[in-house]
Amino acid sequence: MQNDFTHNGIRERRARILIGVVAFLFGILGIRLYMLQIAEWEQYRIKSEKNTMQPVIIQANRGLIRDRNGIILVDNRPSYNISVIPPRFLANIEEGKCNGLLERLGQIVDLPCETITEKLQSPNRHYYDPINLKRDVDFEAVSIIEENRYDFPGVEIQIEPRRGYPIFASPPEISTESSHARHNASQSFPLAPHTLGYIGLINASQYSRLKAEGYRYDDHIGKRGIERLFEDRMRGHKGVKYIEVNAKGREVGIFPEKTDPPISGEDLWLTLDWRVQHAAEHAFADSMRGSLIAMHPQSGEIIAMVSKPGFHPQFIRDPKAWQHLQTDPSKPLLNRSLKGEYPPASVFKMITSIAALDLGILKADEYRLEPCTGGMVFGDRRFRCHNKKGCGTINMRQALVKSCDVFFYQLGLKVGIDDWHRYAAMFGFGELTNIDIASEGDGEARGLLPSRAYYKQRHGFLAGGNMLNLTIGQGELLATPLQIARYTSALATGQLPIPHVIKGAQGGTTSLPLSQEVIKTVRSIMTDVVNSPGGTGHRARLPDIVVAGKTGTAQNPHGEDHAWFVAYAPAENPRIAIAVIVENGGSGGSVAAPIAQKTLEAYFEHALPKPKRTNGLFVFTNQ
Amino acid sequence: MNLSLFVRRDLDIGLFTAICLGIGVGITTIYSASYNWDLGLAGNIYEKQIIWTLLGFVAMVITMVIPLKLFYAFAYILYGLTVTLLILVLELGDRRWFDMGPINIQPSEFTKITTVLVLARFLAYPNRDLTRARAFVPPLLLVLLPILLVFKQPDLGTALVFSILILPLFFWAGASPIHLFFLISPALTLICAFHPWMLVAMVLLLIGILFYERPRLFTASILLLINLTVAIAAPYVWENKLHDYQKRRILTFLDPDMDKLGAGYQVIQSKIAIGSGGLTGKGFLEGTQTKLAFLPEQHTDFIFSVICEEFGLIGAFFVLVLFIFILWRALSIAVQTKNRFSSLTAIGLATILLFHIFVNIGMTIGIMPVTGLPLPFLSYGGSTLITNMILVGLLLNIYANRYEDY
Repeated sequence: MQNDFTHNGIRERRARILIGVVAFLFGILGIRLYMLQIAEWEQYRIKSEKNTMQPVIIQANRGLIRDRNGIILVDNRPSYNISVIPPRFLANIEEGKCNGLLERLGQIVDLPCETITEKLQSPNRHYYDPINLKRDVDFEAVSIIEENRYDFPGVEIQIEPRRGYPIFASPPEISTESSHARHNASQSFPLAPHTLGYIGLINASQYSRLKAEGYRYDDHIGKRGIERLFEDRMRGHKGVKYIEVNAKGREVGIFPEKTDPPISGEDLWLTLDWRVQHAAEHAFADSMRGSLIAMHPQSGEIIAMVSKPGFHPQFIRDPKAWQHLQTDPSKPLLNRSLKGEYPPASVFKMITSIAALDLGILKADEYRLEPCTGGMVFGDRRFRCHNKKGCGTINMRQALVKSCDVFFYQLGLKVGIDDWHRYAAMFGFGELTNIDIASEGDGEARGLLPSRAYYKQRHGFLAGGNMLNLTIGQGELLATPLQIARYTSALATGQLPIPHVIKGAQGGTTSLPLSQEVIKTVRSIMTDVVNSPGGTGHRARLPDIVVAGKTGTAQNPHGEDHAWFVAYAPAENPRIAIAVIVENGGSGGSVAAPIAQKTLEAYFEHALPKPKRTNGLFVFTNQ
Repeated sequence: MNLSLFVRRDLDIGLFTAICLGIGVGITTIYSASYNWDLGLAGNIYEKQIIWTLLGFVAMVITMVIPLKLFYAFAYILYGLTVTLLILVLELGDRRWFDMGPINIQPSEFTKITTVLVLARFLAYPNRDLTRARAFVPPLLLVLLPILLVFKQPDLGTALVFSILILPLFFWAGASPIHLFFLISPALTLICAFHPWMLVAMVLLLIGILFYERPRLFTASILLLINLTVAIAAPYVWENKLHDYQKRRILTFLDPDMDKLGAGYQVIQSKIAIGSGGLTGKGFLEGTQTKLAFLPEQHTDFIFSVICEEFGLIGAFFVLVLFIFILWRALSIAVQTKNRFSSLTAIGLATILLFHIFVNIGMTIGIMPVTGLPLPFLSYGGSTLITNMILVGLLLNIYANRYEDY
């Protein structure tokens, strides 16, 4: 050892050095205090007596949220607040009495006198800071105050930018200009409220944590969704101007050279296309519950993402409406696209098919399995096919087109749970999608992909019947709509993308370790599901474009079946992949497929450059 | 532990009196800071602070009677617990504290003390060879963990407390100053990285000292590599990886004048309050800066400015002398204590106090960034006061058992 620590001589030498450091640091403090209080005292005394600047905050515009073409989804509109500077106002009223000035003001802002006096006692403020009595008042109240401003000492009108949601009743021309004429809070219903989120008044604990970053106790802050996730980028930087006040707090001048203009927040560009989003939200009636996700399959860019029922972000300011939203049994605040977990049902049958094809268990056109007679006995139970009359002797192609359950019971048993699990995991089931807005934002659900180990742990053993349920996408199996949309993209391209909503976010894809032949076969079958006569997905057909897809009808012990539909188009060169679920909607082919069809239609009508027409079909070239 | 020892030679009466005086000055100033001229009365926060003080004394006495052996034995467990709380507060709490109704529990406060304990325990091990680089690694990792967690909250000020902690502890444990220079060289390089000549000077200095000291080749190359990485990566990250708002946050941290509304305004007003106090001050309850509320955060972060405005340079020096006395007591406790763990703990605790005092007062007079670190014993706030009382309880405990080795 270099130093004998316990030897006091060395300790004391080191202690002397530390005392030196302390003395040095306190010396700096002492000298600086001497300079301020003795050497420069005169100068500071004059400053404290005569000047006294008051800062007045200039709010910054929050960054706008735009869709992929620059169309504004969320912008700012001016709103008016009636605020009071307590010391100036209180000097003019009789304490404890509700008459005269206080009563008049109470009538204008529609608040009882007690509430006003209570608000004026608010602790978290500087002495001469104005306190907001009422925010976002109507124009009538503003004009009454303005006309009688000398009767209301200490009462001020302040302008504050507020979030506005343009109405998308009919498709506007592409223009990146903000148009205030389109705003009307009572009529507009903003697009994608779950994704965009909303802002609200900062709460007490957020304030005490964030005040060092320039938040004030009555500021707005992103509370959910993108508004919360990108709060730092979008909030901008407040400006300030300094007014000169005398010791009584009256304004006597302004310091123009000290004005610091506000800096607007950054705009945020999304990958959403408002026209597709709009069409999807309209096709999906608000009385329904469910989700729709449309994705660019090669890049993982989300083109539209709907969760129903929706909500209006401005309801957060109305306590009653807010209460209603939170207690509504249909959970309008839940983002079903990322957090809803459903049994994927027949949509999942492609997994069993791919496993069987890739492992060489069965070819697409082989008639090797037992015929379907409307059900199958396994163990001591009879497992039914949704087609009670039976599907007869069929091959894999016909089984997927008709969505025959008995065929897949048999195929599932041949594949076995371990291989089935391996192929399902390839498509990302049971794992987070890592969509860019989830991990730091509102989160996403993982779903559940049961494996042999899962059953061992839960029940002690794996029953054969479990596999029968899994292979038709039922049983313990759960997936989020986003996972299903990503799976559809992977079927369309052979690549598993990372979904994202922010333009320019890191995407990236993983190649599936499957032979091209397998993917090709499954894709040709999915084309048949929509286009062959009697195919379950025929309601998703488009006149000029070949759509490929698959229906699903998830049994639900608590009520009506959930309706699923997944699709991608054009079948030969996919540009869009889509997944739709309607909770308790009934059959996938009749309820979910038409919603997908309308969304696809909007995409091909608006969102793509017009393709050349050849041989009656549109042909797209890969960009 | 015999409780009757308290009143006799085993109570460090000087330290105890100084703490009481400090808290008394604090409560008086909080009363003044919340006093309203128009209403002619003060808010109720000084009463709350009195309640916190009573609770603080209870915490102090409890800390005093727990055998030091137990702090030694449970150092790692206590550290693990508080770090777990730091993780939980990020995930479940409000990022910085748990909201428990009337009180907020701020785990980073307790983590300061447990980190001192765990470092002291590691360095107290008698055969620790501090001439070898590898002896520095575990303590560095032990402080890095809370630094990262606190930084994520984000609470830059408290993160800096943790990072400063290791230097005096290594020094007290016997590390050579040159090795300590190597230790902080990446931080120095980071500061110099934005100015070419300073960077060259820094690199030359580092190489020079390396040649003089001749550490093992492996250690020297790792050290150079780290410094070069910092020098190259820092400007790149600044230019390409940081958003404007992030850059602005760092710049205003370093130079409050840039933020005219927030930190800059606070510092200007604080300097006016202090400067206008003069030699004798404006008198109790007479501070105009305070009463007209030009000075923000006057009962917490800027409480020192209120003292300076109302009691002048005399009041300010009284507080400085009080703090010097407290630090001197802590240091002499560290010198007198036979036990190596206790001695190192005392040094660590003194460092926490010194850092808070210097950064807080430095902030009010405009020579330190605005970090939000409170002034020990004086600033309003329950969590901080109780932590500081526990800290003092530990010091008093060490003093009482200074002849005991275990």
